[in-house]
Amino acid sequence: MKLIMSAFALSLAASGAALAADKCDVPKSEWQSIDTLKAQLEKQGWKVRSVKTEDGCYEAYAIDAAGKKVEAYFNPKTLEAVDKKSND
Amino acid sequence: MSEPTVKVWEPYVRVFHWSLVICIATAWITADEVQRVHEFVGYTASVLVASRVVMGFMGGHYTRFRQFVKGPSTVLSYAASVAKGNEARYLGHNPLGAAMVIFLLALVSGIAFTGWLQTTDAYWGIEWVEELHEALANLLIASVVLHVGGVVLASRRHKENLVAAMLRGSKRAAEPGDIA
Repeated sequence: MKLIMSAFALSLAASGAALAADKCDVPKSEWQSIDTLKAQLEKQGWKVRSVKTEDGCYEAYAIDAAGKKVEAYFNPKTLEAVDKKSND
Repeated sequence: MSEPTVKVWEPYVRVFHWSLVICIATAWITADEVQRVHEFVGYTASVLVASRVVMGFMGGHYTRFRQFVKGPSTVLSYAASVAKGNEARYLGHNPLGAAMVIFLLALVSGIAFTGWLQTTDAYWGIEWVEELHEALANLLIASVVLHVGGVVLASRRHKENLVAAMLRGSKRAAEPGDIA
């Protein structure tokens, strides 16, 4: 049972994580700072709640300009958005 | 001839117990991975706990809190007798097991609450809520290990299979010295 559930969870997870990881394959020396990302997002009217790193991407939790909750992933070198989830 | 048995765990308790096990295992596996499933089993767990609280007042004899929840002095003296190896056999929850039941119910509520909090506008992305949620979840896993350890110990001491009892509902009938 546990095995089946783990396999199910892992297969679902792997598809999402692999996608983001491919787009954030940047050596650490080329990363821009979290503060730079925050400043860029806040210029777009976002209220940034927290920024973490996940699978080589920056992962930001924020309220966007429209007041929506967003969880978005950014390439740490280019600070381009690579993935975004809106939760309502 | 087989030993006489008595029904202890009513169907509700057994369904509740194993459903909660499935929810906790699934929530643990899907954490940070499959958000939709994680949230669904988290909310299901909170509904299960709420139902257990209601049944703690309205359920059958061994389901009711007043049957098994004991004060600190009883819990401590029972713990001392466990250490000495001469604790009485309880048909329902023993005092230490009962304390664990209450602790686990409270923990699952706290985890479900802090999980839900992270979906609200006010606490979206707020790190301390996430950290608290994770710390409580780690404490839950440690407590589950302790709970299972207690079940194994009590099963050996009193020569009965308490896991099977939670599946079938029946236990060996009370003998002299047992607490029914």
